[in-house]
Amino acid sequence: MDKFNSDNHTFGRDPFKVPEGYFDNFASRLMERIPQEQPSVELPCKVSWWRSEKFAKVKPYLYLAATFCGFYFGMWVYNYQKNLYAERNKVAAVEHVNDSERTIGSADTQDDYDDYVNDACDYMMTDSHDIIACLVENE
Amino acid sequence: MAQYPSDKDLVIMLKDPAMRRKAFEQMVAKYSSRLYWQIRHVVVYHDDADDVLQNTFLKAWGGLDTFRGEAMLSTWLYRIAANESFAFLQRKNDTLSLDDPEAAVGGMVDNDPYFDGDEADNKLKRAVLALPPRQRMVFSMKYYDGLKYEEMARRLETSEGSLKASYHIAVKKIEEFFRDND
Repeated sequence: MDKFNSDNHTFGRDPFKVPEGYFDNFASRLMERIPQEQPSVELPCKVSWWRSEKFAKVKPYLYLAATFCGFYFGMWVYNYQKNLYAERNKVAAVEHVNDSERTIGSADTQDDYDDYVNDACDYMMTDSHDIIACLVENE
Repeated sequence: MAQYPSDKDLVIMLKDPAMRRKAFEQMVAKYSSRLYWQIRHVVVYHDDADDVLQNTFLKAWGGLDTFRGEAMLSTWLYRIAANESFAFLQRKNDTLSLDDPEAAVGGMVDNDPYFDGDEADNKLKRAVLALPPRQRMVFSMKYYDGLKYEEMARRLETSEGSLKASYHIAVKKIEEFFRDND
């Protein structure tokens, strides 16, 4: 009667067999199943014109032109504002004179009237002598 | 006997993309025999062992980037082989005939052209084949490969206590098989 006794086992006696030359070509058989790693290919990247080298060369000149344009524009705005301010002052002075002419009779005091006339004369760069001379001439 | 690089050198070469393929081929040549017998004693059939062995190395190739070298290269490979064998047994267990599993298992051993044992070997193999997958693995590694529980625990990532229990139960079942099939 066969009895199984694990303590009596003699290692090294193995009833299993393996085909002839199995281990000799196993490695090559296995490596055939592993695909070759392809080297990575760098595809040409399409660069927009804004990021191209040509634009990089032109950029400094564009910046310079933009600076000058900005400067001239700033100067134009300054002059425009200045002239506008002067025009407004002129109109205001004329209106002030017109207003003063309309209200001559209603001036509160003679002093007020004199002030109006003096302001008008100052603007017109005339003095009282010129006015008197003009009045005398017209008489 | 062919000379192979040490595990330490193999690990270094495997990390280098330029040398990886060559180093892997050397690793396969170095470990194919040892892994084969561990697998064969578990799955029994040569064709099955060949499939499992190839799957083991293919899985190792795919996991090279994740191998950090914390475990020894050999332990890492044995662990993959054990997992692949176990998964194979579970799949095959599902396909065995439910009417007479012992007859189906016995047929597998009797028809194997790569089994050259006497009647006692034959009976032992039929008894081992009747074991559940885990007990079959533990018994085969201990009985046929002569591994210590410490090494088995590393390969199977389990405790020595559970391995001892599995082996003890497997031995009892085989003894019972021998008594019942006298």
